[in-house]
Amino acid sequence: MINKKMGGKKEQKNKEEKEKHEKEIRDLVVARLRTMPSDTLLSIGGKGDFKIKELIDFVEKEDDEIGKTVIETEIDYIRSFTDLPFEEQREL
Amino acid sequence: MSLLITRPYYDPVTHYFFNWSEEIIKEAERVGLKLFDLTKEKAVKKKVESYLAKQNPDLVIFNGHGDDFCITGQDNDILISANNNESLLKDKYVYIRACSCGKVLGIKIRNAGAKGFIGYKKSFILLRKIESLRRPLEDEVAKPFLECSNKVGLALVRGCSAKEAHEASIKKYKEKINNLFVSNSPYTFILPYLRANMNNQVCY
Repeated sequence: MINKKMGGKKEQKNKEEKEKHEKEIRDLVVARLRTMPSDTLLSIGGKGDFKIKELIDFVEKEDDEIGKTVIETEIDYIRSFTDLPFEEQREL
Repeated sequence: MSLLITRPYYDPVTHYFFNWSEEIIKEAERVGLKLFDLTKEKAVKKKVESYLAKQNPDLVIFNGHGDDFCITGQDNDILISANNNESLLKDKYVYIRACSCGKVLGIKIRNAGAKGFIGYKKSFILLRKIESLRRPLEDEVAKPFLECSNKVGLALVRGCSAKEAHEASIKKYKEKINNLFVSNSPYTFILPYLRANMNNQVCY
């Protein structure tokens, strides 16, 4: 019984930490998008053309495919700096 | 040698692809390739199938929209789809500038006997300036995306293999990314998206 309660608390804590981490990522991507000129459009194939303001909405909602693509693209780029050896970091 | 190229024209992305493909067409003409340029309403399944069967081009370049299983032409007409008519591309080099065709369709095309395939395993992303729609060749934001992808077509029409064309394009991406990264350009915000297209480009 005690173990079950402790397991439940741990699960809840993990969930809260995951949500906090995801929010930090969303905030970081939104901050990056806000630096983009407002006269820019992003086209993702046949899914359409999106203004920066619309992209920010998609990222904040996160449940949309466009938002997920933008988050993945921006975060992959940031992570590329930590994955690479120093010499390659200088190149990219 | 001969080239078949599709250039649908019905939305901003196809408008950009249509105009930027002129560079590939000019190069094909310069090196003396026989050219079959299927533009606008000619970029439909019936025409494409007919040209592939009767003219048997050595090289095929598709511009348009796509998904894991198909590539489309004018007004989203499905031109080639997996487990349907990919065998028409047997013995040809194929480049598809569209979203996601590299995931399934490209493998099917290669397995059906194509000499080589280049495409994208995820979305092809294009950033562009709102006010440049009427002058797509002058759009400084879109330029790197189209120059780097054009490199595939340019290398193929010059007689390179699929692998060589893919590598030439990747080299161009890396040069653009490195140059932009150390520059004072106001367009460095495109870097994540340019890098994504580079990483999503596949060659079989």
